[in-house]
Amino acid sequence: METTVVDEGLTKIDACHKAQETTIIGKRRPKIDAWPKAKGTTIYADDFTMPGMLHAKVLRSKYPAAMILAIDTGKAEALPGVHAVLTCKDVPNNNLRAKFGQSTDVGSNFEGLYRVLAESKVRFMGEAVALVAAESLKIAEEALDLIKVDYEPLPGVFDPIEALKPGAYRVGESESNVVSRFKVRKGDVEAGFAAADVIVENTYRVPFGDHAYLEPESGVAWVDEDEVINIRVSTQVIEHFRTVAEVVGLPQNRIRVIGTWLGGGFGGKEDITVESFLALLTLKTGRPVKLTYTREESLLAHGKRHPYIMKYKTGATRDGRLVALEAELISDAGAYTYLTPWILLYSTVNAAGPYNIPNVKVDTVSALTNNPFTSANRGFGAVQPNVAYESQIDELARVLGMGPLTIRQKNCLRQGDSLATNFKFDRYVAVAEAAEKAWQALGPVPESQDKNIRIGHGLAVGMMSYGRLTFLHDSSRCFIKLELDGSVVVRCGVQDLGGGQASTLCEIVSEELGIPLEKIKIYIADTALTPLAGTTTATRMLYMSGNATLKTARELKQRLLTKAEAMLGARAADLQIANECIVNPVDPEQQITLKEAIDACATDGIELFYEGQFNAPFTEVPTSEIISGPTFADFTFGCHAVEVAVDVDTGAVDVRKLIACFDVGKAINVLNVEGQLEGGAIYNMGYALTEDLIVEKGYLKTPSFSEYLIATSVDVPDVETIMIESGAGLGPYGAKGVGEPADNSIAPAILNAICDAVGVRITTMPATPERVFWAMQEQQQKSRQ
Amino acid sequence: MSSFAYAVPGTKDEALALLNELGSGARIVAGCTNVLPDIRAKKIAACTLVDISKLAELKGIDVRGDRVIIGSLTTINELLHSDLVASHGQVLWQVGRRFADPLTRNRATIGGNLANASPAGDGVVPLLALEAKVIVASLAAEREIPVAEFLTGPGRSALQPNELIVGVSFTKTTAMRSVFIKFGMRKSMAISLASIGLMVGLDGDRVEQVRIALGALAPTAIRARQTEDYLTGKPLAPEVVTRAQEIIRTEAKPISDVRASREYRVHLAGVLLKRALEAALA
Repeated sequence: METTVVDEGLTKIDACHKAQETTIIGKRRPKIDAWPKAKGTTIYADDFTMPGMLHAKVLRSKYPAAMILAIDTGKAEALPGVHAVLTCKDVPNNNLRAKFGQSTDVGSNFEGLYRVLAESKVRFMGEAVALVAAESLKIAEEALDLIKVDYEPLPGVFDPIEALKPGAYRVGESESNVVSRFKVRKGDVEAGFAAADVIVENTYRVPFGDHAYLEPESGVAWVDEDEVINIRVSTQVIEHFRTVAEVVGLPQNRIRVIGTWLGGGFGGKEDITVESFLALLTLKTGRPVKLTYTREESLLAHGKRHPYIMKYKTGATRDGRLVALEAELISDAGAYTYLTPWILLYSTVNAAGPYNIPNVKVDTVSALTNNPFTSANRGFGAVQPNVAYESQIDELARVLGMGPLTIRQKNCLRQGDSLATNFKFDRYVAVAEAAEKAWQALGPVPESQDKNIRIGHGLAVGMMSYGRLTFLHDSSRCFIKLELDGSVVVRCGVQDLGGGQASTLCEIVSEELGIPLEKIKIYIADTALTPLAGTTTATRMLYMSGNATLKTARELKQRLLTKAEAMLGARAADLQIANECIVNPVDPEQQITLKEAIDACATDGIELFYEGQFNAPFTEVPTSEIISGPTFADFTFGCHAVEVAVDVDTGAVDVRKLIACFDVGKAINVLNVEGQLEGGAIYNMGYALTEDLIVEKGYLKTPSFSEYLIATSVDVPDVETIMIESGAGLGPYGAKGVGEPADNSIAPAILNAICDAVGVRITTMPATPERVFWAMQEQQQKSRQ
Repeated sequence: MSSFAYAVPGTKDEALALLNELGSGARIVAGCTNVLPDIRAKKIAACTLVDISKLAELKGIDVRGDRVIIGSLTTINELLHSDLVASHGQVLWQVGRRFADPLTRNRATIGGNLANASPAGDGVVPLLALEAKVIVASLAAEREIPVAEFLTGPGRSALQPNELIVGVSFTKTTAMRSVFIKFGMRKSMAISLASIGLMVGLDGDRVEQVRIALGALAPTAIRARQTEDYLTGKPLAPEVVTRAQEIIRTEAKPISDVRASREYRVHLAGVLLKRALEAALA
């Protein structure tokens, strides 16, 4: 939709006139936080210091599985400059049944043990064992070396398949190694496969993944003059204040969490990181305390993306119709539950992909192991099965001699169709359109100019929910206040990860109230001062807080228009609000400035503030292992198409072209949505090709960024983004969420392109040069036989 | 974290006196691109860091007679922008753009790359091909050690605790064609899985003389002498190249590690040789 551009030189009346359509929404503009970041003036969590501040360090387990026989902190405590050395016995509530930031009751199937410091049994290498606070970082580090821990190493279990066997080593104290199991049942897969002309079977393995944000985990905590524990922290979830309160044994209203601008989150700051440690140490010492993880510590100690083993069997008829899909997914939960059940549920719902398949059988299970714990990572259980189902459909196309676009168009979901879980799509489903647009944009496969290089094209579609699981009964709130000078204060408890979460809300307020962005001040992420808006996770912020903000802004807008109605003698319905004026576009003489309306409201005692709440659709907590019915409010659909060049001598894969096409519903800020689509594609390009957090028998073999390889700027092609604006989203102005969906489908698109180029199907990610090379060797040997 | 003393000598002689006094208690630092990560990873224990980065005597690139002499403090970026290196030691110049990343190239020195003695060190491979000599000084004397003898093992060199690398020298080599190829897991900021530095003198397609240096394919960077011997005097016909690939694969003695298996690295040795020879012929 074309929109009017307002020239600042226009007269006020003209300006009011022109602003018939959106003036802010749908434009390309830098986020409000873009310039400070570009200039380096943004203050991040580790930049804060306080008078008298102590520095904290964490002692971490050297073993992945061991009994702690004794901990001697005497020497560390005696070191001059050390103010506290804490172990599990110093934690008022060291073991919680945690809801992981969720405020509603979701039942025991979706809770898990949150343990602050290792207690008797160590479960993973890098588990926090003791905390130190000292006058300097150097003293704190020295103190760590002086803490003596007697361990008795235990055998441990490091493979989820092993962990599920009867008699396997128990990772925890009493609980079973099984974290969760879910199923999907639709039709009759036996009959479906019997009717299939072609059946493809493969087992896929995807690795642990790190978030690799620029900013490692960090925070500063202090006890203020009212004896409230303040924690200023880089987090995606300020609402962990409730858990922290339980840990330290204080009422929830005595813990205040203040979120900073994040240097990236990607799900890795969805769980508690430094908060409990800081609260315990500041409470113990009475001094402000800072804790920032080193990069190595971050790689070692925070949650990873779940590795999955995925056994898929997919059947189709000769004309390319999918008739049956059977999938068995096993995920490695690592040492603690965290968000594993939720993520496994996402995988279960996503397992068959955005396809019409009459017969579907999905079984998923997650097991505890003595590996690093696994939890949220951009894509949250949707990306792993996407790798499998999009590889499978490509293999079917290959066997059937069908094009990758054709087979997808033949089978993909359309409006009115349902998922295998019986979730019906009443709204536009853009899978076919996105696939076609992306594939066309890729164009024909060029001739290789190098005898060692083969070029291939790959396509993959994807679906991912935005907004949380509907049984979590999600809500968000926003407060807006009009100041007497016509400026605006917005308070909303969003955490801004760099995805434009705060900026977007300002843009919505600006659009609705006709007030320029420069006159809008937003306060975010403070549990004491901002209405709680929930977590910045699950691609929910635009959907949830955007709607809450829209609702609130429109309530205030209505109050202003009602007042203007009386002042102008016009009907409120005929009036428009734009460029700090209220005007009747039919009769431009009927106009007042916004400030005049605000003054009149103030004089008459009309409230110039409002706090609105938006509730997502609510459903019941699933009580059966078989998942059926709506578990999410809506999905975002998209597609990646890539061109790769594969070096036949080395197996090296170079991504030369990358097209991302998504139905974004409505782009609130075009520049920002492009950024999300580009960032998402690059994020999981690394997942497909280079990023491999290698853990052997519980020991991390990729302890730094010189082993865990993320793409550099020269490894990344220009990402061409194509936006479909269907307006079909549940967010403001018909927007859908894109943050997480944007990284879906790129990995299988790359695997499919590799297969197109050199004819080998890589089923274990990442597709390192070595893996691709050996696969080619193996295939050559087979073809010789 | 361990405690470190820090000394900044103002002249080479001051530095040598310090090293003489401290012995193995000293650790020479210049660009710090290896030392700082090692300190963070606790691979370096308490010692005195002797910062030689102020020593003007160790800087600069000169030609003396038929020798090119490069001060040990010369950064990789300076090599990359040196016409002398580009024309007289082309294979070293070719490394410039493939070495780490622009930030590291601004700090990392050629002397440091030698002292680090990593089997995968990209700066060392071309010096081997150039048959360079490491100029090493102590209070008592100055000596020259051929690079091949200087490198004694992974992270180990012939440098004595009281010695300082002051430079590296090699004979001008304009007649030979040079190729450097590095294979890493990404296009920048990558540690070589395998690298090759090739210098070859050709008469048509016949090899008159050839020097082949390999990185990350043995406990130290090595010369592939058997492959060189085989190729010398032969035309670069396809069957000759194939045979040379077989030979170089027997010469490569790499390890398996988290980045790649031994078998794959051995395979890469052959690929890199073939490509280097092709590039030299082109």
